[in-house]
Amino acid sequence: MDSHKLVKDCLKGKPEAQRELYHHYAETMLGICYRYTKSVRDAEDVLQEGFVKVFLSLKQYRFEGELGAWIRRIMVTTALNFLKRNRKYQSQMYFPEEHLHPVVEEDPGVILQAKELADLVRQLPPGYQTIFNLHAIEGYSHVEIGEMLGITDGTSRSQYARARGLLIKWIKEYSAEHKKENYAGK
Amino acid sequence: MQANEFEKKVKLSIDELKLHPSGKVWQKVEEAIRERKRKRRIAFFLLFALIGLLLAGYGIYNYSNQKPVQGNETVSDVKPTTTEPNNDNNNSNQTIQTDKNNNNNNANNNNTTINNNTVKQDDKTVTDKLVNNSNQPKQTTPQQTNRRAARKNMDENASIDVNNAVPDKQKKKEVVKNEPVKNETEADTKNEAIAAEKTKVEKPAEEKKAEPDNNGNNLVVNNQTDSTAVAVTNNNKPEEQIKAPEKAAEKKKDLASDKKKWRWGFSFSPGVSSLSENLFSFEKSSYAMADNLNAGPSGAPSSPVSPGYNEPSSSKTGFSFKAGVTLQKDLSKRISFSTGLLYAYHSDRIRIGMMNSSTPLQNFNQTYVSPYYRGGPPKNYTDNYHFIELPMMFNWRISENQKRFLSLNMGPSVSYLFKTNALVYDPSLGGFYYHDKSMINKLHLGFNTGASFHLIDKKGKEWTLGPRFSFDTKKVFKTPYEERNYFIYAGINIGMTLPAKKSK
Repeated sequence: MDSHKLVKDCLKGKPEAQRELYHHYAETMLGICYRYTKSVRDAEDVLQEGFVKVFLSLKQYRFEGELGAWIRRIMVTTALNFLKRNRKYQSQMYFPEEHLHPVVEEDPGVILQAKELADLVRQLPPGYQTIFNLHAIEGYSHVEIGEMLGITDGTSRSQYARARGLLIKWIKEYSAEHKKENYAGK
Repeated sequence: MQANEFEKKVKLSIDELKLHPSGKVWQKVEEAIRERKRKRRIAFFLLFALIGLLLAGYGIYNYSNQKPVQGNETVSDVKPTTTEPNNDNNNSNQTIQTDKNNNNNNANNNNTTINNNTVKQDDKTVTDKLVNNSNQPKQTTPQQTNRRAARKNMDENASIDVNNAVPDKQKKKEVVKNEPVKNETEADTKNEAIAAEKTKVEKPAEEKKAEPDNNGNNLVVNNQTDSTAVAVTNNNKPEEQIKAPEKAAEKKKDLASDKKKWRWGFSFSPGVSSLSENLFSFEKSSYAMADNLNAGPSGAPSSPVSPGYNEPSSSKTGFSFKAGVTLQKDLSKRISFSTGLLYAYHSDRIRIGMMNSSTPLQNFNQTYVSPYYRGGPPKNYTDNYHFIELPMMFNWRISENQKRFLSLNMGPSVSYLFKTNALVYDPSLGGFYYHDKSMINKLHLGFNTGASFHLIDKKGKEWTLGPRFSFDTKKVFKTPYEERNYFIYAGINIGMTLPAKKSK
């Protein structure tokens, strides 16, 4: 797929080009939205809103970097805004100042499948979930996360450490249960 | 490092996640895109329609603002004209039969017709007489000689009451214009006589008596038909007939002059207002996508300007109203102009963070500001804008009924923002809001449009009701980081215009 041509056709308003762009990136973007929300329905709402912004802002895409990365940033921003204005998540998006927790160096040694890992991340409290997604997956620094969420970078580090610790613990438990089931199955 | 290894593995694994969305997601995306484009098209269509209406109104105004033709012409303005011979239809010819028994009998039984256009009894009377000789032989006979002499005397001295004999008391002379004798009789219609007359006949003629001229010639106005007489002017009631058209003309003039006067009124327009991103667009402003779209996490190829919590807020509609006094003037039958002085209140709602006043922040102008709004759970904030507005509206009546009619209204307006509590957005340090009136434009130029239904009651008051829209053409904030740029207003206009004071 030639992204340049596709973007130009979308800018001309060609419905088939818009449909093609959507279908090319929809599944990946839904996976990203899924990690930030607590339900598939909410994830689809974020996806829909995000793609509307993509098509309306497409003229601002300057062909610097990959189109997928550009769309991904829109999705992340859309997801954050969705969390902030959605009452269901608003109350849980409050980040209290905490003492600094050192990052646990431990590595669980196993990595789950994408869906299983995503489900475990979604089980984190919304605040932890957001910070973990922004830092571990999207690659934002704690300073940037602090500015985005209106918190200090120290709070971001602390919350991330707790989230990471929980996730490692759950991965180990999950993989242990999975081994037992496989063993029992045999 | 193991910590980083964990993050890398998690990222690698989780990025592979792909979920298939339901079909309705794309349907909704498509509908939203079409809706926004449709709204944009409507906004542009309205804009061009308004410009077209404005141009059409201007053209109609120029076309209809022509000098009206003067319907009443005074006697003095009327030049005596010669008409085609129309002996058969000439109802206003009057025979003046000279008295044969006078000492200087200049007249004889020959046909001599005198046409009189106007009659006045006082000295200001101007009477046009056209003396015609019809069928006169060209030979000069003693009778002709006498006739010529008599005519000469008449031209010099006589003023004759054509329609009614002048009473003895009022022996006033009327000037008779010297008109050449013509072979052709002149047709003098009754309407011309009425229209040209301005004098009032004081008394109807009671007697027809011979009125001697300066030379002792007696001239008798004879209404009786005889062998020498011709049809008599048929002005049975000259007074009333003269008065009626005069009154009607005066009344018309008064009405016309009343309509041209300024009329005071009042106006009240409740509605809603918002700040749009684009000019003449109904789209609400969204947050600064341009900065976000080219940003990314640190280490990414593009510059790391982070999106997120403190981006500029979108503008939601707030309550708005306009109220004040108006002045209206009719420019033509269909077009009127109205202006006035209004107080306009606009508002919009934004989402901001918590207020902080402990430590001043430095904005992009390198100025420290405090307090500022940033961080924490977002909350609603209402920006209030108080204007003094001077509208200039052209109103185009589009129906014929005088009591109830529709009109289209449009025109520019100038407004001055004299008070506001609006917050200004600054992108520094993740973005925050603060108060800075120097970053807000005070003088605005807008464009109003709408339609009105007019109802004129028995007392002459004109009540109006109809939708009203306003667009601002100047940005509200001087900072380039705000997406809330142009005021838009929509409401219902209720007005009342008093009737013009009648001319005394």
